[in-house]
Amino acid sequence: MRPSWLVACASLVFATGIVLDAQWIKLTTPGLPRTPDGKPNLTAPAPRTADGKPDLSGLWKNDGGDRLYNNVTADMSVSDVAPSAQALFTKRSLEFGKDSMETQCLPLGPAYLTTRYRDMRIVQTPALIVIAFDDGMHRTIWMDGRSLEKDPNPTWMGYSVGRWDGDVLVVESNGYTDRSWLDFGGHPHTEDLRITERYTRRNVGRIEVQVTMADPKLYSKPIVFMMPIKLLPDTEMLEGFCENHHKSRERMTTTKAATFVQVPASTLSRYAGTYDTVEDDGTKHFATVTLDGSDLWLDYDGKGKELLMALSATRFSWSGSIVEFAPLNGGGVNVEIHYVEGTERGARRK
Amino acid sequence: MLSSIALSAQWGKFADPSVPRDAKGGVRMDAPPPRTADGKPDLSGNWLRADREPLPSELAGLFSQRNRDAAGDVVVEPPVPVFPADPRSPPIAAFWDISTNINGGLPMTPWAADVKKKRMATDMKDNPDANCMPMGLTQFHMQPQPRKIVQTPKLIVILYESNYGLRYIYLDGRKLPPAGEPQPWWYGYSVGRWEGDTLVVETNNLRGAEESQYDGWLDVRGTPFSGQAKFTERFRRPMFGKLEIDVTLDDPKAFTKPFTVRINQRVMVDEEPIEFVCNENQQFRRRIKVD
Repeated sequence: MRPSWLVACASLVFATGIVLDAQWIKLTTPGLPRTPDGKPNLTAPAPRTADGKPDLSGLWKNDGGDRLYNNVTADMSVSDVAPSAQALFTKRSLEFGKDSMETQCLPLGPAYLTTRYRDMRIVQTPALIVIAFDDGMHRTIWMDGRSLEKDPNPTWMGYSVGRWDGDVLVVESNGYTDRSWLDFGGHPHTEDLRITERYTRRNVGRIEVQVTMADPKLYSKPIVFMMPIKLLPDTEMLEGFCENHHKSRERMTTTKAATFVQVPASTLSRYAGTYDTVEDDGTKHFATVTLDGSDLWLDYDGKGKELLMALSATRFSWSGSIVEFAPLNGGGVNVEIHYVEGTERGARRK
Repeated sequence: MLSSIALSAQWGKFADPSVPRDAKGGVRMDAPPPRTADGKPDLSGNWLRADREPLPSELAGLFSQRNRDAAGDVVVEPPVPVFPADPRSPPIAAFWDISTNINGGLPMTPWAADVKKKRMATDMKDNPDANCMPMGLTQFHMQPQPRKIVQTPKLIVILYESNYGLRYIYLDGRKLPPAGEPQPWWYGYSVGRWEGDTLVVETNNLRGAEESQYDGWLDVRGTPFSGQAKFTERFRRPMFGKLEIDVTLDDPKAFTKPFTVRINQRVMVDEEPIEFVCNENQQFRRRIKVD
């Protein structure tokens, strides 16, 4: 099971910030190839535009899972992250993202690439591609041959130019305000951030996007990850609108973040290892715990490491769920993961 | 516009090679309109409202001289009309009060008159424009900030600079949803079709003034529309530089009979809408002390 705090947090924001959704009637998406039983044929070849390019137009959803939502550096070492950036990330994680773009009804900027639950619509024309999100924000990607400016006025959504490399759409972006974060966990970036995306439409149902975020002032090597996106057939975008004047953020600031403690690395290192765990209903999982820098990290089911924040020498907050270690006589360690929905129990592999 | 400060960010000068120009490089506004590969008029481009806005009485004395022209009007549009008057035009819609140019005013029902009266009595503090909210369709059409139309054969997108407005018009053959069926939405549900060179767009299931104090605004003064509203917009691009939008509102709860107004827009070339994030610096409600 995954931590449910995000859902709880999102509900909090939605309940207080009031996000309203709307939906078109259930419709059959025109123009999709279909199997004989009428279902969308998602493995059919990718459609092409009149000028022979892959046509990326349509309604899409980020299918990258939870991996990078809280930690875009999940595949990197803490030593690749500048201490100032690591400190800011830890602080923001401890505050459960209370100053994030989402709680302030601001554009996510580069974090649209790490936020899995946003639907997006791609509208492709030869000279311009628009990517519009379900919160009303949009990106414009210029395909008319213009170049990125050297020193543009920083914006939330940045400036993007695209070109075709065979059947791959290559998008280069810069000009991001340093007020935005790279992920919900709170990894910062500078105004030097440059993002390269390579869009490959594998078939009707799937686009794979290789994302490279380069910001050498804070990250000693580029952050590289795959963002698969999947087609949303036979439906319409559920659009939301974030109303900022409803006090959600003021209410969140009443949450105390000071309940976390410093635990010596010598204590934390005792919990390192891989744990086999079982949910109440028998579902099996595994979790790898590592010490990196001065923090403990948890990689759940191989989905990427996330920060564990110490509540005591044995209790840790994992995105709001509680991970509790119980060292045993003889060197073993048991673990319990407490979710809102139940408890998962396990032991460290020998 | 009144409350939020836009920080400009822009591409450097980029001369669009598809723009018809005269020998001196000036834009030929009266050149024929561009057409798409399938022969339809191409409405794509950046558009600014073109009609002059008379100074509303609420603003008399509030604006310094430099914001006015010799006639005392607020200068947000060019000092001379961009286009010659069209004798066949319906009344020109005004941004501040959509009824300004309609002889005899609008046929408002008592309900609508009451809503408007209450909104004006509180100095329009709930104007969605000033509260970083999506506006009504006509308020968006007349907002002084530019908008970009992106036209594809089956979908037209309007990207508004103000308040990150985003509107979809479907031309893929789907039908307008039944009135009252899907959840009402700020932009409603819009389907379009071509009648010759005119794009006819019908919209229903909008969030009317019953939904909240920010909903159902046709103009700054808060002339309301209701959840029963059905908008029909007829878009024409008679020349390269001009977009005409005739808006008919059929809303029996708010108006005793349908009415039609025109909104003219002029093309904006060689520059782009800027990013305008209204929530970045929201001071309006604090300054007018409603929170």
